[in-house]
Amino acid sequence: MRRRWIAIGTMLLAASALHGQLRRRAVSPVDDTISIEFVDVAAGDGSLTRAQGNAWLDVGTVFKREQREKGIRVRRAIGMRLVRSGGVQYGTARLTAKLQSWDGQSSVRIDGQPLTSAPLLVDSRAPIGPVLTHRMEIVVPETGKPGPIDASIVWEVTTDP
Amino acid sequence: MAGRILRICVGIALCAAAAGAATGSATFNITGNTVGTVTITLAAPGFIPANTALVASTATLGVISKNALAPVGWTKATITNGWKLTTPVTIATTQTLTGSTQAALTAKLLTPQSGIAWKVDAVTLTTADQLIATEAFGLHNHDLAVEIDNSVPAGTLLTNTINFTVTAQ
Repeated sequence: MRRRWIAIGTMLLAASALHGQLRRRAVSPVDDTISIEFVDVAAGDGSLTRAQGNAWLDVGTVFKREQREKGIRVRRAIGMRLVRSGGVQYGTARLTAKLQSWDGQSSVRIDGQPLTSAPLLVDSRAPIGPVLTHRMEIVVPETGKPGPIDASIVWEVTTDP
Repeated sequence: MAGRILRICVGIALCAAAAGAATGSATFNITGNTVGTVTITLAAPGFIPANTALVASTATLGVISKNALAPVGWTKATITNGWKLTTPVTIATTQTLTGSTQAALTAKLLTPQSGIAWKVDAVTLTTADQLIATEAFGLHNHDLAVEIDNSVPAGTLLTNTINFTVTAQ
């Protein structure tokens, strides 16, 4: 009986220590930060500018090239890395994307899924560290009028506990 | 008892870990510009290859005569002071992002020849664009004809280029 209580006490101490360690990790601003870095994986296919974690892609002037396709379609690979601050890259994260703003005429798809203002789950277990590539497609309907393409996609990453 | 407490401890640890989930976000902005396009293709039984929609078609008439059979795909008829060969041309036009449903079809001749007139429907072609029709985008049939005056000497080489143009209205 005494041994059992010693064992229980040891486990409680260990759990308490682990809890404290995790709490310290949870409140530490350095260990807890994750960010998205865009990577140019399709150089030459439109101009990609990156600054302060965000990216600007200019697809230039587009028009219908493939008569058999419906609408004007611009396809491009988007590369990104999920980066933990602190150097060591490990684990997975939940990656979502949503439209923050758009021109009202074109639509945007990520990996075939249409984007809206509600977050779209792009990857529930995206690996942290390596470059990830997703397919982006901008579709402009044929019945529209010529004009600017303008869309902003907000990507959000949440680490898995 | 020990097992239950252990499960509680693990639960505490898991709760602590869950509290450590971190989030980050970044914005990807896309800009560009779309432009409208129109297309035109021609197909006719008198072109080679016959009845094949192309952006550049050729008609090879061979040796033609008022008194001989018409070339394949062409019909021959007599007109005042001469004769003519006609082939029906299917002109297909498409548009994307023009904001228009109507197109103006024009045609012009590259090099006029004396005594020889090229016509699309009733319109005689010149070196300047001539309006053939204003019609909806899609398939339309028109007649291409070459009218040869009786005064044209035998052995005259008929060679010419006709440019068709479609413009969204």
